[in-house]
Amino acid sequence: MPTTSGMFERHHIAIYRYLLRMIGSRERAEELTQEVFLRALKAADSYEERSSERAWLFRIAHNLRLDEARHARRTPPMSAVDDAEPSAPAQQALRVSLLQALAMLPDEEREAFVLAEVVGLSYVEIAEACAATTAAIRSRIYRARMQLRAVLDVPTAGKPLA
Amino acid sequence: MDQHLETLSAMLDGDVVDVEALEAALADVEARRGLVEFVRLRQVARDESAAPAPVFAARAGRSVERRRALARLRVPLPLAAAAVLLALLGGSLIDIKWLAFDRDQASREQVQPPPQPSRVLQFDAPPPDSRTGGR
Repeated sequence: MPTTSGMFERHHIAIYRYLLRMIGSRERAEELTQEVFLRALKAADSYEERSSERAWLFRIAHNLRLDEARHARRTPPMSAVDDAEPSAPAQQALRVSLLQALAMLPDEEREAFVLAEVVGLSYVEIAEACAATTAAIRSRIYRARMQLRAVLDVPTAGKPLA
Repeated sequence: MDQHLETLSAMLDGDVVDVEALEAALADVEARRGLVEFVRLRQVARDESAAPAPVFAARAGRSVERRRALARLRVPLPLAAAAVLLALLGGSLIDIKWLAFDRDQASREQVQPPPQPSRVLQFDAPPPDSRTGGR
């Protein structure tokens, strides 16, 4: 059984970021973040020691998000919400471009990319959270990177590296 | 090219990659450029400071902790049902036993004859005193 004490403190920001990037609404991301932990408490008995606490929580968040989309009968419209602290203008512009491009990715690829790059989960953890194989996750992240790379106006493009 | 980029993408994520495939990928100029772009994407993606509103975090945290405390107190449903059943059964048995005891006692009281005297005391009046003239 996971140590449910302090679980909210340990993981709520990561869960919120994942849901925010997948749903695109701050209010809904907050509501679902709370719901993830309430469901986790109810399902604490079903927790298996072989999985990490983080992967288990993201699995719950993943299922909750799918339920949400199913109830809405369509994928909710994504918006590129930017909650970031103001940074350097160039970096900020790049960030806005990334969030816009991210919002246009297919759901599975966006999810894999967000879990890897925003949250920092490993392939194994992402595979567990998304009920997929690590090979599938590797492929999804690669495809996401290729599409984001094409959309972003990366300053190094065209510069010789040799 | 795609294969090289996929190898570098996996390497960037700490996945196990074939050394020869990595060597070939790193020898490819376009793949190297792609690797730099992947790193740049990562830097931008990880520059994430989005967080739930502090008011929400405090309220939700309290709510979750309260629910957790309740969940720890909660007795499993079958166990609770068994305890209630046992209590009812025990209570009714005690009741039946008391009723039976009362009934036995009452019937014993009705059937038993009055106790036999263990000794008989007889009072004999003395004869009248002739000196007093019978007064």
